[in-house]
Amino acid sequence: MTDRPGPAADKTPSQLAMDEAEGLAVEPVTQWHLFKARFTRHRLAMLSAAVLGVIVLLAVFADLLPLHNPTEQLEDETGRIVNLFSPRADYPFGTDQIGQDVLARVIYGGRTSLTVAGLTGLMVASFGTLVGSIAGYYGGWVDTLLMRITDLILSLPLLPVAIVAAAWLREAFEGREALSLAILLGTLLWGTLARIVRAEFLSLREKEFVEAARAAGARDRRIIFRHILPNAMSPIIVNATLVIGIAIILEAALSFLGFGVRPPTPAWGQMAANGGRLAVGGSGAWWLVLFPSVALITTVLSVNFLGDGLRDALDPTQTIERK
Amino acid sequence: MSDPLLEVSNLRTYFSTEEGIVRAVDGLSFTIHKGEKFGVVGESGCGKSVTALSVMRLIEAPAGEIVTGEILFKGENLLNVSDEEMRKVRGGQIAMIFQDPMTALNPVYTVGNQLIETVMLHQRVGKSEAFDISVQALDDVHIPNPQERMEDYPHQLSGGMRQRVMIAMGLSCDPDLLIADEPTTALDVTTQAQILDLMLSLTEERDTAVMLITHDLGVVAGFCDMIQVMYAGRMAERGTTNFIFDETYHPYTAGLLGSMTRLDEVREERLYSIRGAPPSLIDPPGGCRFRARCDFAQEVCRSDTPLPRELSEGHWAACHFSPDLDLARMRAEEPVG
Amino acid sequence: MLQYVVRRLVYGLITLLALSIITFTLLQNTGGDPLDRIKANPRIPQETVQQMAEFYGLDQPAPKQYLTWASNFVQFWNYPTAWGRSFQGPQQVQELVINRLGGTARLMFTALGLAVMIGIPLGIYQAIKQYSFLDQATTTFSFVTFSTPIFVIGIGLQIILALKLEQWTGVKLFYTSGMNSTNYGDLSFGARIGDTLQHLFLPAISIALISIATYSRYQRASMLEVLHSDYLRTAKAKGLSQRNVIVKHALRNALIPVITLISLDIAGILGGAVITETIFGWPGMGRLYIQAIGINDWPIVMAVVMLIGFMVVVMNLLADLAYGWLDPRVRYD
Repeated sequence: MTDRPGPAADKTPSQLAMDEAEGLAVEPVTQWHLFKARFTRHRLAMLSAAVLGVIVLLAVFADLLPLHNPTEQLEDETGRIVNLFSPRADYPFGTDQIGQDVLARVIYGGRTSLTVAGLTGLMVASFGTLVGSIAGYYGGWVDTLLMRITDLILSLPLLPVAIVAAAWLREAFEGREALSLAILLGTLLWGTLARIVRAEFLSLREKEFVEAARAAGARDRRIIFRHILPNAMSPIIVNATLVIGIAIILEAALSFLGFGVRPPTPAWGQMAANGGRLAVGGSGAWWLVLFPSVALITTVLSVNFLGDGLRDALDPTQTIERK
Repeated sequence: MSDPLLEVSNLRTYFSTEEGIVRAVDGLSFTIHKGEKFGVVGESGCGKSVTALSVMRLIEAPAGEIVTGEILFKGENLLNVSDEEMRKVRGGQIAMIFQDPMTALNPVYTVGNQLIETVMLHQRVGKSEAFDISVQALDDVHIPNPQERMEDYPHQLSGGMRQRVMIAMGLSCDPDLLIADEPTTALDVTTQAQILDLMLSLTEERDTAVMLITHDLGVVAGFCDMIQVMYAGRMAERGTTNFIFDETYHPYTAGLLGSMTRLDEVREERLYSIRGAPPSLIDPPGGCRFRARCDFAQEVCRSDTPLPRELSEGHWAACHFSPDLDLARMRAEEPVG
Repeated sequence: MLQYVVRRLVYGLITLLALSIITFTLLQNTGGDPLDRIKANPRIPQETVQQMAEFYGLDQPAPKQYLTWASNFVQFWNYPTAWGRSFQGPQQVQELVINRLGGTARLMFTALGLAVMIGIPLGIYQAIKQYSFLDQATTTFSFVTFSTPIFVIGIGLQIILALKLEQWTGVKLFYTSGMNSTNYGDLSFGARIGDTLQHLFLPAISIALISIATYSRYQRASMLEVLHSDYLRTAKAKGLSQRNVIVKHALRNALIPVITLISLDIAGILGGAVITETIFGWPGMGRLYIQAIGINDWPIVMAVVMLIGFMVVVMNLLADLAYGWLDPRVRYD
């Protein structure tokens, strides 16, 4: 019996390393690794992140670029106003009907549109998260009340209400239209996120680690912010990203109807809308509608792809939810 | 032993994923005889279910594909028959029931609707006759008031009841082989025993062969005549239930047995646990796939793939050192305390 | 069941009440008196302005004005005076709005029909042939479409399918403005249908495109989920043909979530109509709405908002009932 091989002595480190190299041993994978692996596989999302980065940088550092003043009526050497010039070396995107440089307006317009969208995203993320977590964590009548309000907001016809509210807010915030639009859109768009966060909280608050924290005497605020919220971050990030895209689209729609950002401040939706009217009116000035539209669509498309990639990477089980 | 019913030889089923090709089943051969109760045991991801789905030809193309092999059912290679003929085999001659009875029935149709559909698909009967056969099938699986249950939707039944419906559906056309993929895993313990007893008595009565897939050696112990232990897409050991339990040849089987709690013996020693997790089946290296987790691994396990060898009558194992390992030590590690 | 419908209707009424209060309050606070233009006219004496304000009830405090408006509004059977009078002239608001309702309804139902008939089969096909060329092309199309403001789509279609097409081929296939040609009355029956369709197509498809993108995307996701479900595997294991598996077992389950989506999209379609009607000079409620807001003719604004809100409430209820009809797991309590 002594010649039977018994259990081998513990493996040497080099043997373990070899097993690992051959793919036979399984190493633990962290959430971050999983996220990175899944996100980098989403090539479109990677590309979109890069495109968005460039657009944001252009908007932020517009002042440093060699651009015309976006709100100045430009003149040629003879003092004539250069209105409706088609794209050429001096004016790569052409000029508009009152002689402003379209390239400069597109880049500065990005500043306006991105400010509106970014502020809206922030508002939705903070307000939706707050309402959703309170409703989901406390339950009972607090939940019922908050969710009734949420349902009410969600069942309002978005655009008609937005138009009426925009007409009012614009006067209340005279001169700060970006801010007024962000407040308007933020107020109308937080409902979906609040519902998602509430659902997350409802399931997370029953989990063992929350019980454990509670048993250890943690206060509600600590449990909400330190224990539950980090676990509910994925849908919050994804939804806030998608809201940014929706905000840009809605800003454009409101601008088209004349309730958005007013000239001379440039914004993409407003430029495309006014340019579009001129183009259909037979001026043939296609550049007035094309460039701002392309900037807008590229941005929203990137945001949507990015949101899609983030969702796949952060929360592969979540099915797509309505924008 | 009676005639062979299902003969699988050298089956390889691969899935292409973004990370690479997963060799889920990689050269598997086995035979199930008429009326035999055949258990397939292994950890999750060892290829048990893929084997079953391959036999049913339900591997989802284009990701999954049966690359090579032969699946002879009553002498006919199922991999060569037309889709039309295969549909007659499915549900008619080979029936399959699945792990989670909560999701295996279509939620928007009544139990009766789904049973009658199966009956009419494989038997030349009219609707009213199919209804009677279905009621009888529900009665056979001891569902009370079968006539009324026909009108119920799946969500109105408990998990155990739904699994009974699945069994009724599987046996309604009197198949020669019933494939049961973890049929009791999702059920609570008392229901598990009832369902297993029911399956055993019904299939004994009809002399139906059963391929029972499970990760639980306890489940196969009382049910099966023959047990095949699988690891990483390959067979580790196969033999009669007595052989597997009492004359274990493969360290993996021994590990599974050592990690099993048994009610019929008093243990003084600690439960054994196999270290690590099953390997990824994407481009697995040569040699023995169990070696990284094996207490007995030697250099040869790295260099040579152990082929299945028949070490005694009907008892196969795929290990270089079988039957010369001191496997008893794994079942009796140092006493607790 | 009945109890459920009643409760839903009560919630619907509360929503409409809140909608009316919110809209009314916002309109009150939006600067600009409805009579501004009249006041600005130096030839109209102060006295007349005062009389007009009294006539319209504008001299009353806002809550009183709201109550008067609301109590008249709900008595919609007092046609045509129930919804008040426009500040712009002698028209009764109810008459104005009801006249425009048909235009919006025509646009909305055509767009909805197109979206359902194209979007849903497209999504199903995409799921069945996942990763095929058409699947990938539709996915790209969907992403681009719902990243594009509807007015850009509308204007783009106008330029390409109407203006440029006519320039290049000399054929006037689509009209860019109005609901019918001016000589509509003189046309034969067949020509009338043709004329109607030529006017309807571009605005309807502008609205429908976004919904097609949304529906196909959701239908694809929902169908894929069903195709990978256990019960579908059961159906295949029973020996059902591929066709039966999809038509009987997959389709009904996959449609259930999309029904809810469509009902929620009604509000989106009506919102899209507001913009599209403006682009295509379509005589519907949306254009009326925009014009009325511009001059703070609030009885019109209120009437349109309430009608849109009403349609959304009704469609949501219908969708819930359809949901319950398709899915036996749903219980109304």
